Amino acid sequence: MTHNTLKGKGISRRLLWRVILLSLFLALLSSSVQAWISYQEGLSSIQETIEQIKKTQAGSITKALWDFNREQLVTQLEGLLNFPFIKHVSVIADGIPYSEAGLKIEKGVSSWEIQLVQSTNRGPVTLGSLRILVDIASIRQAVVKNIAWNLLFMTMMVAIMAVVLFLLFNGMVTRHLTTVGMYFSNADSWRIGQRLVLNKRHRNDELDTIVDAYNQMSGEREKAYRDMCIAQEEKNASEERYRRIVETSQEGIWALDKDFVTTYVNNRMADMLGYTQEEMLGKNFSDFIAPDQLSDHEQTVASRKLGQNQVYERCFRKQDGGELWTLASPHGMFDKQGQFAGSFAMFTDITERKRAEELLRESEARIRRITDSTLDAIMMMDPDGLVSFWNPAAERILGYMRDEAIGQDLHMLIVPERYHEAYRAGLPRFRLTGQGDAIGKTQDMVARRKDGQEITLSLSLSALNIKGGWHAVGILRDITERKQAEEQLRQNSEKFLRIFEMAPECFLFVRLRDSVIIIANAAFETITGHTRKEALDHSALELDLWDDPPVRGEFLEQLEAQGQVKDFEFLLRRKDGVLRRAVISAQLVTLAEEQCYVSIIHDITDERKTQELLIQSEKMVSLGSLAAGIAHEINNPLGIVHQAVQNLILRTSPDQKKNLETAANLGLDMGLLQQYLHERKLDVFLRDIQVAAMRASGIVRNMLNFSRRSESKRQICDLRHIIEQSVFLASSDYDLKKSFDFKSIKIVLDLDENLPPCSCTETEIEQVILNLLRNSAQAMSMARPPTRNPEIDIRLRAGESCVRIEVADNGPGIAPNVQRKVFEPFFTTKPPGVGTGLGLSVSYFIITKGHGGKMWMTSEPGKGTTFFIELPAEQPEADHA
Amino acid sequence: MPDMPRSILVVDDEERVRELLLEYLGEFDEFELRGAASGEEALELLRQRPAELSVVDMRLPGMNGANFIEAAAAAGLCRRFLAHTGSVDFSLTPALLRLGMAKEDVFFKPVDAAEVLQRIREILMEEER
Repeated sequence: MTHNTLKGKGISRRLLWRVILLSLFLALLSSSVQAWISYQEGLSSIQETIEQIKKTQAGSITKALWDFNREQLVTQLEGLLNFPFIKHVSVIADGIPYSEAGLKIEKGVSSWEIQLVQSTNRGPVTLGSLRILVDIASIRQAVVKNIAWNLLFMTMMVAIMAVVLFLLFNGMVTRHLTTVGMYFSNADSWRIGQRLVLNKRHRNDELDTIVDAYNQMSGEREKAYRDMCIAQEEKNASEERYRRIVETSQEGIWALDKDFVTTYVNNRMADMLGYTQEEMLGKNFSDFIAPDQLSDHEQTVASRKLGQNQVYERCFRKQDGGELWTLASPHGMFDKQGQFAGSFAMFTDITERKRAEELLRESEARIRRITDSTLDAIMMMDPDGLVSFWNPAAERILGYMRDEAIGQDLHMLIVPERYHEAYRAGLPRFRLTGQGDAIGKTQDMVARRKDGQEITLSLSLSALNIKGGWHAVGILRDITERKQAEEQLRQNSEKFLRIFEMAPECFLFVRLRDSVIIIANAAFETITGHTRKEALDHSALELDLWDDPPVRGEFLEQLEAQGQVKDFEFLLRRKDGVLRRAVISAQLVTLAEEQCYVSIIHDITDERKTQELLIQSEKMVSLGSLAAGIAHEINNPLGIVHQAVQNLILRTSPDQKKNLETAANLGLDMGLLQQYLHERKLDVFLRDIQVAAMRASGIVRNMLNFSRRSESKRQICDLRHIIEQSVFLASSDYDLKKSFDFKSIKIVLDLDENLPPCSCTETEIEQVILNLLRNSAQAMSMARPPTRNPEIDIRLRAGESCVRIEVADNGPGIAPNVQRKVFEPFFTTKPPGVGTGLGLSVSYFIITKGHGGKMWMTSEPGKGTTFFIELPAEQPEADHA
Repeated sequence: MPDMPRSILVVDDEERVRELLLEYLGEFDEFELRGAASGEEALELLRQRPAELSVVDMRLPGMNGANFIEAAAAAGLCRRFLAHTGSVDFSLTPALLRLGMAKEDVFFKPVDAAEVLQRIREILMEEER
């Protein structure tokens, strides 16, 4: 800083000049005063001179004048000229210069007049005046001259003094100041801590004090400065950092004034919104908010003004119209008076997060919907064995609401106590390893519902590790129904297997290509006479089942063409060579990838025979309905017949008073009339009519039994009691006793006690058994020769799902040609009037139609007849297997 | 036998059935007999003069026998009744049972008139007491 260095000399120079100028001014001033004083002194000396003249010279002059002594006057006047500065003296008398001396100068003079008064005896007389011209200019000149010298001298003195002072000042002060100046001007020196040292001979003057003070201060200051430097550096660095942070921040920073007008946004904020920083300045914060968030914004504004700075989420509308989701960390600012002064907030772009959250939420919602809507129970168990998840299906299946289940020990909650030990044993291993016997498998388990009911569940169990802890996820399906269905299916298949086995029709599975019999049921054996052992894995041809092999060819052709054959009739050759008429129905099936056919062979030989009986049944049904219609109509005319005969008999009776009266009036002899009637057998005819009418009426009544709807109550009956009752009724039947000697018949009851319950109508069964007893009794008593040791055995047995009653006699039996007809209505072997021919038909109907049972008979002529009745047993609920 | 003939009403739509029964019963000079072809006619007759007993066919044109019995009993025109029916499966209804009719009071056609007479006599004896 040479500039400063040069300037450094200014003080001494200025001092020099100022001293000089001040000295000169003072010199001038003092000279002027001196000159003025000299001048005044000059003037006053003139005054004094004048006064002196007045005193000393004026008398002589006045005398001279008075005397008109001109010469003296002149001498006098000339003597006045010796007085300094008086250049001209004149005496003026009567206005006219009377005498004068000296040079008359016009310029630079001053004139005084002294009155010349002559004292006379008459008093003073003014003779004239003495005018003295004083040369003032010469006074001035003298003064000026005097001053000039004085001034010159003083100036010289001043100059010398100034130079000396300059030199002294320079040596004592300026030089050091320059050093100081140099010291300060060289920033390096004081910054790096050099002490300020002055090159001086004398010590402890003011400069030293200053320098010492400075050096001391400098030391302190330097320290402070250093500290400050460090602080400043730090501050700068910090500021820089902050500036960098603010500008490069990944967070948007937004400053708002009290009206929420933007005063600052950082680049990031602007970027996030798609604006430039400048575009955003001065705009209101709410201009950027997504419209649906404005009301929320008002709330946050209100809370900000209350000084609440909670973090919140805010959605902005971006410049491109898109949404910007941010997490706002606001900070309200307040002035010293506590008035809201604006707000400052940082915004983190959470749009992605929001989107991710939204996706997560959707995904969660989806999963929630899945778990909510699934029909399977889903539950989760935490490492402590407590329920941590419980879906609605779980609520439904297990009966516990979610709130009841969550946090409960899962096993204690739903596992029946008898399994607790096993579960407790497995839990520690699961907790450690996430493994267990049931993990990763689907298996059945028994669970206990809230209501205590035990249900079978299919459990799929998996383990998952969440934060180091093993959790179990179970999906449970209520398979109680499935289990039941499986059981049902099992039972069904067993049932079908049983049906298959028990079916009276022969079932065969035959391989198509070689006609080998694969499966056959029991009926196969009965129908064909071959055992299954002989038949299975053998060709149907080997067994020679078809009487006419070409017919079989026809059957197979039809089967292959149509896939099935229905009721194909053929002659079946049994093992014993007996030919039976049979129908075969077949269908192609694939069995174990082999083309097969399943066939049902039905022996219709017996069926054909029973067909007639079936036709009879049909007859009886129609007869039943016919009977119902005509019974009433027939009964009336029968009634007429019957009563008419009764009236005839009554009115021909000789006992009746009226008859006697009428006969007497007519002159008729009642005795003769009686005789006549008897002789001509009219009485017999009348009785015939009566009996015939009663018989017809009986037939009608029996016919009606077909049509009578079984209104009687069906209930579980004690068949033993019914049989005993029937026997009792039979034995007390007058007709039986009288006509058929029922008492002589040995009745043997063999009634099993352990019988399945069987529901029937007591009176009807009674009627049937009574009827059978009556028939047997009649047959045995009417047999020729009569049956010896007549006996009727009544057996009661439990059959297959039924109860069987057998009524066997040792009577004459029934001829084979008659056997078939015994159940037909109106068929009777009894003499007219003894049987209606309806007893067995009605019995048959009571058993088969009324009770769903079976009734048949076997008979061997000469040995006896057995009637069989089977009544279906009640199927009890409980499985008796 | 009481001196005063007892009034019997026979109700049957079939004239011959009705007449034959009336004829039969008339032979004994014990009853004052009337016949009606329908329940309505029977009620009319009973209103003119009540009867001790009515023999009623159950199947009648118009109101049936059971209804007639109930109506006649309710009106106090006749106290005892015999049913005389052509159908086999007739059974006494609870209402008829309440009127005191029993199994013995039901006769299925063709009926033995002697039995009817017998029953009538029994009933009238009971009534006597």
